[in-house]
Amino acid sequence: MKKKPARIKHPKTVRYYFIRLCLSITAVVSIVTIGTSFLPSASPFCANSISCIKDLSVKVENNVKGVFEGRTVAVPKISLSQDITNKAVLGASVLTGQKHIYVDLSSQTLYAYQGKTLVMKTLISSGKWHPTPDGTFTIWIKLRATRMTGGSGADFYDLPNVPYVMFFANNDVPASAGFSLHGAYWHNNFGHPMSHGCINMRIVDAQALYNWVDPPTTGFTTYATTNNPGTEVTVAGTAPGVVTN
Amino acid sequence: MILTRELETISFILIASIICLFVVFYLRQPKQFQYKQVITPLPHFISDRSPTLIPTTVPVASRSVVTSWISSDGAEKLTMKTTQNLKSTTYVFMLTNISTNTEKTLFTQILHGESTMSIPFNAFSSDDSYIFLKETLNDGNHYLVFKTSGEPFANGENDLDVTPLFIAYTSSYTINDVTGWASPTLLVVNTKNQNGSTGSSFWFDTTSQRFIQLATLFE
Repeated sequence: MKKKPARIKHPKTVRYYFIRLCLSITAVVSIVTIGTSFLPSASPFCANSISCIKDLSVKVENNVKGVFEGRTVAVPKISLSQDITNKAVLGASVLTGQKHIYVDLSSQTLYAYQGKTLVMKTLISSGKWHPTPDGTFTIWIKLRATRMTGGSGADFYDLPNVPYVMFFANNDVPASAGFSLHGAYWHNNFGHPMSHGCINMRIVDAQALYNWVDPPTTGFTTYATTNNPGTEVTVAGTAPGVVTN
Repeated sequence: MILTRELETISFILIASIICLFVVFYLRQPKQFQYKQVITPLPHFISDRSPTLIPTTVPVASRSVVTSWISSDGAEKLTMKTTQNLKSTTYVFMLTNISTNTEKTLFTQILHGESTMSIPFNAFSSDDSYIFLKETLNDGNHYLVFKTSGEPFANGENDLDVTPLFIAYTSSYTINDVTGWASPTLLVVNTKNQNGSTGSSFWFDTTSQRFIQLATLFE
């Protein structure tokens, strides 16, 4: 009977482990590089998933329908060529002082101040299906109109031509979260939470506020800059009937 | 032995790769914005203000007052002219198209005693097809819906009084408030239970003249 040859034991040296560690690191670096560079990026969550971060140019879509609360909504037409911007609203031309917007979620009321002068007070609709964050924010971009979509199931919404959009953000609520002040044509129930996190306003109020807030409007898309910072927005209180996270 | 070592090496790299793939996959998942409420105070001068907003009122004569309210899109203006008489008050509601500057009388009402009429903040439907007015009578509040075209409803009436329609619909709830429009044709009706606690919210569909009970409260 043939005897099996005895196994020769090679001790696992430091070199053995070092080579394998190097190979593993190479594999990990390759996967991370390929994964982050070549795979399509995932969409971030935001209050309005189309308008946030992906497309920040003005977007006007006439002759289309919107969807809100499971119902089709007629979308008002916007003619940019006939868009007349009256920058003299709210007494901005005669008033001086810091501009500041206060939103009291408890009473669903917006106040706009220039210095100590109240220039606007109106009812708004804050988040019902997603809470409007509180804190002090800065307006970082203004869009004459854009499309907003989000939610799911019965709460799905898809609303073209949302007018007079003023996105705001701070260190805790990033710009990519997509919270804004804007006009709303799909409901008229202001004074009560009706939104998915944004602050809805009557269109005439949103227009007046849009033309008043900083940065001064320079086109259909206006970014705040270091030299032209956006107006501060303070949101406070608790909206009626809305459960916060 | 060499084969065993190669298998060990491949297994090691495979495990590292799988862990790495998982990490990459996890990092690339969309991050849901998690809102943690903080207590942001409003300045004292804001907190003390009354949130009540009313349409603009202008006295035009010693016993007449004109109140006007513009629709959300700025296309229509509703005017209420109130004239105080000796034993009654006359309310005349007029609708003006802003672009054509055409005016038409929508509704005239004479009320006695303490009864009043008013224009709610959300009077116009979102497409300006309808308006609703609030009438406070001895038996409580009534909410009258009109077509801004001036046309009558299917029943031949020029207006729909939501209150008696709701009483006929259900006795489980009573109307607490009618707040505004959830869509061009859906009026938001908030109610209370018989014991006075908050009841369900309803939509009143102006086209079918039916009530739709909602799962969520429109507070």
